[in-house]
Amino acid sequence: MNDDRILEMRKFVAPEFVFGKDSSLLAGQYAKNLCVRKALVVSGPIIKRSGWTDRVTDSLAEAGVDAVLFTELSPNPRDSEVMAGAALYGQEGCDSIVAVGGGSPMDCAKAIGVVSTNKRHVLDFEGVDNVPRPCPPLICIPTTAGTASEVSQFSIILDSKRKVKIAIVSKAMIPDAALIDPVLTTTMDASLTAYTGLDALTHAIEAYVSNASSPVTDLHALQAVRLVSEYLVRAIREPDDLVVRGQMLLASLHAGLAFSNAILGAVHAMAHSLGGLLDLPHGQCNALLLDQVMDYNFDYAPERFTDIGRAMGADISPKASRERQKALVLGAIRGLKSEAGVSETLSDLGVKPADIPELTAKAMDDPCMITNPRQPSKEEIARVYEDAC
Amino acid sequence: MPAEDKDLLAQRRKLIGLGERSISKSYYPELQQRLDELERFRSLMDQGNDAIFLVDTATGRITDATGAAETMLGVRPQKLIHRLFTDIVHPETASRIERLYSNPLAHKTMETLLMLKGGGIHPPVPVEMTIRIVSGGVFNKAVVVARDISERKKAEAALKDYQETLEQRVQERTRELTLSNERLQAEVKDRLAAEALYKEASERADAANKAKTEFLSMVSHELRTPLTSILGFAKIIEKRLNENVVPAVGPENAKALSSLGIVSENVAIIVSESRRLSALINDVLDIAKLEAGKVEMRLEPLSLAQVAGQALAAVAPLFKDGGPVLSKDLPADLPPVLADRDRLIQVLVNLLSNAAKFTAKGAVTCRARRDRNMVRVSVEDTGRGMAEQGLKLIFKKFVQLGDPMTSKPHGTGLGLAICRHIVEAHGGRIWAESELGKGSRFHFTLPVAPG
Repeated sequence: MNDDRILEMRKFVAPEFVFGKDSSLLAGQYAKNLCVRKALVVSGPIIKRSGWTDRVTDSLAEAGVDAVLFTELSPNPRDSEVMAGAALYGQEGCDSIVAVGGGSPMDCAKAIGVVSTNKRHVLDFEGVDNVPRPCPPLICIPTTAGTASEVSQFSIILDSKRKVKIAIVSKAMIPDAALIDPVLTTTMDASLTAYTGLDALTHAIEAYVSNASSPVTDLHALQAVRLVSEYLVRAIREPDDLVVRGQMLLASLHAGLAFSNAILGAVHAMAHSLGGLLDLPHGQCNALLLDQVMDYNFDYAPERFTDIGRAMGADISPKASRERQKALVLGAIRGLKSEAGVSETLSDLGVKPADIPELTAKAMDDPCMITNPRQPSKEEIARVYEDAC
Repeated sequence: MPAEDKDLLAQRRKLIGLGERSISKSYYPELQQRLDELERFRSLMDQGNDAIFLVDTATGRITDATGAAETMLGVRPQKLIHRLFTDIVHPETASRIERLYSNPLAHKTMETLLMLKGGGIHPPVPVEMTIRIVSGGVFNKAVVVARDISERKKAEAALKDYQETLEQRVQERTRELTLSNERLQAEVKDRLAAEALYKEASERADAANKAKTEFLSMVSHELRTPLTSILGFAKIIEKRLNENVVPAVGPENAKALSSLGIVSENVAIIVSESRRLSALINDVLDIAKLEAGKVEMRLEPLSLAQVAGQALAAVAPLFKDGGPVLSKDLPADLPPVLADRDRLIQVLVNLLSNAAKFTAKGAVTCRARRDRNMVRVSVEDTGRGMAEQGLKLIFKKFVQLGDPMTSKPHGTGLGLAICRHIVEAHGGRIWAESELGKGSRFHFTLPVAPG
């Protein structure tokens, strides 16, 4: 790292978080300390069935906090669902939000929060720093190891009319507390474990190669890469090993702290576009695009990518040619993907060549593209999409 | 640097948290704003003339006191917090206030005295107190606003003083008035004496009227006895003549037969004229009784449809083939009327017979309609009708319309007068409408039976 870079003004924002077994049971105590009287509990239907939502509402009830449940949301939460949630929040006289679930309920909860305090439509907040007032007290309890929405300033919402996933990026949406409990991730099946794990890896890699990375975010990013490489396949194979689950959740946390402050890149810009147009699962989109985008970006941050390759355990000699280095790094990523059982292409998900121009246009508009190490042209992005098909 | 790149840079600064708004999430600015508002609000209240208290309805204890509370009670507001609210009002109103605590919709205004239990340095302050229960939040609150009404009470007292002086002056004036009143009373006494004289004269006139009616009644009775003999014997003569005498005279005695024919016609005239006289006497007797108030109406709730049915049956022979057509229009939902059955039939028969009499061809309709708490009965015909001046006369005694030169009188000329008496004795009214050549409509009203 160049010496002058350490003098560049940087900021690191993270919410209060409690990591560890059974930290989710602190929900009631945290709500009480935040003077919560009635919480809107935002969760997903599948999580509700797994019993984790009830575990949290029980904890709230024990602390004397009323709860109203809201689970009517899709895997890619829609603007209409956010508005419905905000309406319920208002009707029920809620004064805070507790999110239990993966990225979808947490992003939806953040959006409901800012809609409720600012009394405006959710789509009004699109973009960076467009939220005047902070959301009400928000406690996030993740049930997947990847999204890291519980520590981030991002909320991704589907504009159902335009079929675009909009990004709302604002400090106003950072949770007041994150209760990060590995126990809650044990009910993920193999494919969800794989996709969310690769999502965490994508967060870490994009943050590390971001043009806004900083010494502090680098520490978190590289540590996340190391943990995913070591534990992802084990978590898929030994789903009930709580220590392994804990390591993956820690990887997700590190990646989250990194990307929330160093921001992301082209993988996310392109995945948001895919998710918006074709309503595809976010983790899977990231996983399929990751190595293709790395291939495209490599020459613009070769040392950084080489660091990543080494963190994944690849033996890359400093003397090796750049081509050789690139091959080793991409090999490490592709190896991990295949070990995790991810072998499909975008075509398998139903992406057609005719979709590519629109996908490209939307990806170019995504704020995540700003921090990509290489500023791409439309044609280049279209080609990356084609390669991933 | 190109503009686009500059834009991108600005966007990037915001993205990495170095934009203008990008300070850590904090509720403090909003909190500060609310606190400022609260402070402004409180200073407004402190300046007001009202004392404001918040009371926890579960415990009845004061949680906040502000405004003029200190001025009125002479105690710092902090010293009032946690005290029972009922300890700072007049004991007589305490229980009324406590009852309000449990009513989530209570909103009451009362007058009471604000005073510290056990005595304070201040005298009790009369207040108008508005208590409103506000639900929601951590606990149910009673918001109490007490307005000092000492000034108003003083004004009321002054008003009372003024009223008393006024009363005194009124008494003096009353004494003066009493004197002149006594003078007036003496005058009134004289007038009353004159009135008594008038009354006596009036009573005497009434007695004379009564005597006349009694006389008429008696005379009618005396007339009926000989008439019965005349009619009876005339009928016997007629019968014998036709059954025994006429067949006994042979055809050879033509002169005797011719005389017998004339005798027979003469006897028939005696019979019919005796009958008319008898009817006349009956009517005279009837009207005399009615006028003397000697007829007692046996009022009972009656179905008009049923009574009218009887009346229509009674007059049916008058409506034979070739004559007028009789019809009725009596709604099924007509309420019962309060009337004397026989008298009502009498009125109806009278009106229907009259209608038949004056309607050679055409229609006679008996109609009834409810008119508020009365039922209006109408007998309408399409007969020859009568002129307007006739309408005023027909309900008087012995008035018959018609051309005396061309038509011989039918009936007694008392029928409508009797009808009028009967209807009026029921509390109803009878009147007629008519137009020459187009027919007449006779209406009378009867009260609806109560209940």
